[in-house]
Amino acid sequence: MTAGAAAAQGSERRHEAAVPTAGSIAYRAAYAICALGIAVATAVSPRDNAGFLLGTFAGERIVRGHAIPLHFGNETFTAAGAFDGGVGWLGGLATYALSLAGPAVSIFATALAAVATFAFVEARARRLAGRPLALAAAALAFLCAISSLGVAGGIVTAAFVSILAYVLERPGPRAALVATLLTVVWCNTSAAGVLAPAIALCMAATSTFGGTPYERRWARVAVAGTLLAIFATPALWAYPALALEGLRIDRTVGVVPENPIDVAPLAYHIGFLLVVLAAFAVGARRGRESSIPLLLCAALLALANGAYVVVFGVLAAPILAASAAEAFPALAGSMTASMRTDFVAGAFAVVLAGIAAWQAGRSGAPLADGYALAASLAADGRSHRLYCSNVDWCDAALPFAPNIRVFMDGRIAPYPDAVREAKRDVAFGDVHWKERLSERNVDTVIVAKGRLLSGLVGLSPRWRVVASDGTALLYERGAAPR
Amino acid sequence: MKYAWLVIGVAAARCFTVAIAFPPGDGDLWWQRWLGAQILRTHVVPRSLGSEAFSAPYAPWVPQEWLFGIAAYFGRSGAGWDVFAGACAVAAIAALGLACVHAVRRGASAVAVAFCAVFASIALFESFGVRAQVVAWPLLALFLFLLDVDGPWCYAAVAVAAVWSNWHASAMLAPVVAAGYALGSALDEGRVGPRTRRLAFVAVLAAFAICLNPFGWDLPRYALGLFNNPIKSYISEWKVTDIDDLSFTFGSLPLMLIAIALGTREGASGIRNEYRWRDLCLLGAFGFLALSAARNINIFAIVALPIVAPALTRRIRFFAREEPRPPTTLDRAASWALPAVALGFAVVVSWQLVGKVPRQPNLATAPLAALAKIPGEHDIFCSDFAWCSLALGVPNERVFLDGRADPFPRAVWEDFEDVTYLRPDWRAILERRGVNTIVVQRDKPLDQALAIVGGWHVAYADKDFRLWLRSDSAGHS
Repeated sequence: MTAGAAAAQGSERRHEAAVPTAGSIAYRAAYAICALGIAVATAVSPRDNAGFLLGTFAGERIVRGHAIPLHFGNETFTAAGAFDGGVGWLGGLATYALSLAGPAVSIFATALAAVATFAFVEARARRLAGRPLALAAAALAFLCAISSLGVAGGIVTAAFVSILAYVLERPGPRAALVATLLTVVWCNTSAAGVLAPAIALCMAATSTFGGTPYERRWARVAVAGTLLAIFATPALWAYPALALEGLRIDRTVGVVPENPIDVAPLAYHIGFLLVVLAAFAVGARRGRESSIPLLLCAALLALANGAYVVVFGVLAAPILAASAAEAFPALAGSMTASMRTDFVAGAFAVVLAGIAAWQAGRSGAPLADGYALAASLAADGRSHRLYCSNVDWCDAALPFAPNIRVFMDGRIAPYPDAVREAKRDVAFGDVHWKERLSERNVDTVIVAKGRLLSGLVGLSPRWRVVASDGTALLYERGAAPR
Repeated sequence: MKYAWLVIGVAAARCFTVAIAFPPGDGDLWWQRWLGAQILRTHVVPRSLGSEAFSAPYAPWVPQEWLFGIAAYFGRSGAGWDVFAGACAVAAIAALGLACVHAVRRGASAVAVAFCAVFASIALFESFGVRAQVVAWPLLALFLFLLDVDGPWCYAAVAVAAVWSNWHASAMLAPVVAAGYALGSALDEGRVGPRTRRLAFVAVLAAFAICLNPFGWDLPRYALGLFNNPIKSYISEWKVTDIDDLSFTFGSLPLMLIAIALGTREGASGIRNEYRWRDLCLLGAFGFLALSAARNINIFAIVALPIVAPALTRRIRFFAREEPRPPTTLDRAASWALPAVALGFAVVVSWQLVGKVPRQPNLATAPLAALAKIPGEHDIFCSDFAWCSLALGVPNERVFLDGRADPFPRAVWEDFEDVTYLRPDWRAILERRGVNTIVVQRDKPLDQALAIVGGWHVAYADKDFRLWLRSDSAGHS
C-alpha cells in the first residue's frame, strides 16, 4: 500500500469514528420504533403466493431427491426436461424450511430481512449524510418497499442489495471478499443475484471518478469477484442467461404483469414518485455525480419490472440523503445533535409505517383464489392437464404431479417461446385458442372471472364450470359433442 | 439554438408526413367534424348529446374541442385538409421551437438545447396527429415562456390561457402552473417581491381566463372531474405510463433521468440556479402527470426541455456555453442557413405529400359504408367505440358509444366493457339496450361469440371486420 493510500485510509477511519454509530438514546429509541413499525408492516402484508409456492416446491424436490434438480420434471407437459439450472435452489430450501416451521416463523424471518434492509440503508445514509437524513432515507426506502414486505416477497432481494451497497461503498480487500461471498449466496438464493456485478460496476464507477487509487483498485477487484461469483451456482455458465430471464424485465406482456403499476402499485405511486420528486429537488449534488450511473440504472430496472421498485428505493435513498446533506447543510449538521429532531424523525417513520401497513394489507387482499382452485384439482384423484390464465396460479398444482401437469407455471424463463406464444393466444382469446388447448390435450382451465377467455370458454359447449370462487373459474372439458 | 434547427427540421418533416398522409386511426376527427358542422348549422355549441346516442340521449356534454371541430369541418378534404393537417404539424413544431427558445433564454448552450430537443421531439412523436391536444402544446409552451418574462408582458399569459381554453380543456393547467410558479418564485427570492406578486396575479387572472369560452365555469369543472373519472380506465391514452411507451422510453424518460441526476439547484461551479424552486414545482407536477398517464408524456417534454437544457449547460462541461466572441462570417451564415435548411427540408417533404389520398387505417369505414345501404333503423354497437364516430349524422343510424367518450354515463361504459369482455350478462345487455347492429374486428372474441350464440347474422365481412345484424331486426329479410 502506498503512503498516500494509507493516509487516505486513515482519514477514512477517522471519518468513520467521527460519525456517531448509534448516537443518542433518543436516536436508538427512534430506531427501535422504526424497526417495530417495519415488523408490523411485514406482519400485515399479504404473502407472495407465487414466490412462496415455487420456493416450497423447489425445496421439497431437493429434500425428497437428495439432489438439486437442474431440469423441469413431469409437473409440466409443455416443457418437461427443460433446463432450469436449479436457479434459486438455496432460496427454495429456505422457503421449504419456513413453510414447515409455520406462518409465524415465516413472518418473523421476513421482518428480520426487512429490518436488515432498512438498517443497512440507514447505516449507509448515516455515514454519507448524518442521522436525521439517514432516518429519512430509510423511510423513503420503506415507502418503495411497501408492496414487497410479504413473506416470499422482494424484501430478501432488497436485503441483499442493501448489504452489498453498504459493503461496496468503502472499497477495500475486506469489502471485495465480503461482496464476492455475498454474491455467491445471493446467486444461489435467487435469480436476482445476477444484479450483483451490475451494482458493483456502478459503484466502482463511483470510485473511479471520485475515489483514491487504493479504492479504485479494490473496487475493480470487487467487480471481478462478483462477476466470477455469479458462475458459482449449479447452473454454472448458464446462470446469467437464466437469471436475466428470471428477472422478468424482457416485457413478456400477456404472460405475467411487469409494469410497476400492476406489480407494485402502492410502492410505485407513493415511494417511486417521492424518490423521483426528491431527486428533482436535490439531484446528485456536486461531488456526487459519480453515483449517477447507480441511480439511473436502478430507476430503469424499477420501470422495467415493478418488483424492483424496492431495489430502486434501497439504492437511491442514501444517495439522495447525501445530496440533501450537501444542499441543506443545516439539516445534516445542526439537527444531528437534536434529540427532539430524532424523536420527530422516528415518529414520522412510525406514522408512515402504520399508514403503509394499513394500505399494504388492504391492497393485497384477493390473491389466493386461483391458487385454491388449482390445488383443489388434486381432490378428484384423476389425471389432469391444466392451463391457468394467470400462470402463477398453476404453481399451486405443481406438488400434485404427475396426476396434475400444467401448461405453464410461474417459472417462465425455461419455457420455450412457442409455449409462451400459445399461452398468450389462449389468454387473449385468439381465434385459434381452442386448437392451442386441444393440440396439447388440455382438459382443465382456470380463468379469471370477467375476462375474455372466461366468456369464450363459457360459450363453448365442450367446457363446463366445475368450481368457482371470488375471482376465478375452473372449467373442465367434456367429451366432444357428437 | 443553431444546432436545434436541424432537430426541428427533422421533426417538422416527420410531423408533416404523419399529419397529412396518415390521419389518425382513432375516429375522433369524424365526431369533431360532425360537431363543427352542427355548430355552423345551428350557430350554437351543443351542451348535450342528441338522439344519435341511443344509450344516453341528452346526457350533458362539454364539447371542449369546439373550435377544433369547426376547423376540422373546414379541413375535411382536398386543400382544406392539407392546410388543416399542416397547421397541426406547425403547432407541434411551434411547441418544440418555443421550448428551445425558452431554453436559450434561460442560458442553455446550443449543444444542450439540440441534445434535449432530440428527446423532446421523440416524446411528441407517438401522440402526435391531427388532434385537438396538439394545438394545446404550443399554447402550453408559450404560457410557460411568458411566465418567465420579467415585466408586463408576463400578463400576456392570461390571454394565452383564454385562447387555450377554447381549444382544449388542458387549459385548466394554466392557473395551476402559474400558482405553482408564483410559489416557486417566492421561495427563490426568499420574499414576496414584485415578480411573485405579478405571477400570483397572473394565476388569479388565468383562473378567470379559462372560463372565457362557451362553457364558462363548466370547462374547469369538467377538467377537474376528469381526475376521478372512471372512464379513464377504458381509454388507452389514460393508461399509466410504462417503459413500453416509446415516446416515454426514448423521449421523456431521458429528460426525466437527466433531471433526476442533476437536480434543480446549482451548477458545477456553484452557480446558483435562480429558477430552482420554480423548476422543482414544474418538474414535480408534470413529472407526476407523465408517470401517471401516457397522454402526459409529451407535455412533460415540453416543460422539461427549458429546465434540463440549462441544467446540462451548468453542470456538464461538454454542454457548457462557449466563451462569447465576435460572430464570424460562418456564424452569421449558419444562423440563417440552418433554419433555412430545416424549413426547406420540411417543405420538400410536405410538398411531396400534398394531394396524396389520405389512408384510412384501422377504421371500420367499409362495414359502416355497407350498413348505410341496408334499410331500417340501426342501433349500433362498435367493439372499438371510436369507430362509431363514423356513424354520427348518418340517417337511421344511432350509436351505443362513440369517440366523444366523456359525456357517456358510467353505466354505459360498464355495459360496454361487459359486452366486449363477454361477461355473463353480455347478451342481456345487448337485448336490454336494443342493440341490433354490431361492428367488430374479425376473429376477435366478440366476433367468435356472436358466431356461437345465434340470433345474429353477418351482413358484411372483409378481411378485417364483420358487420353483424340481429336476425329479427329491420333490414333482414
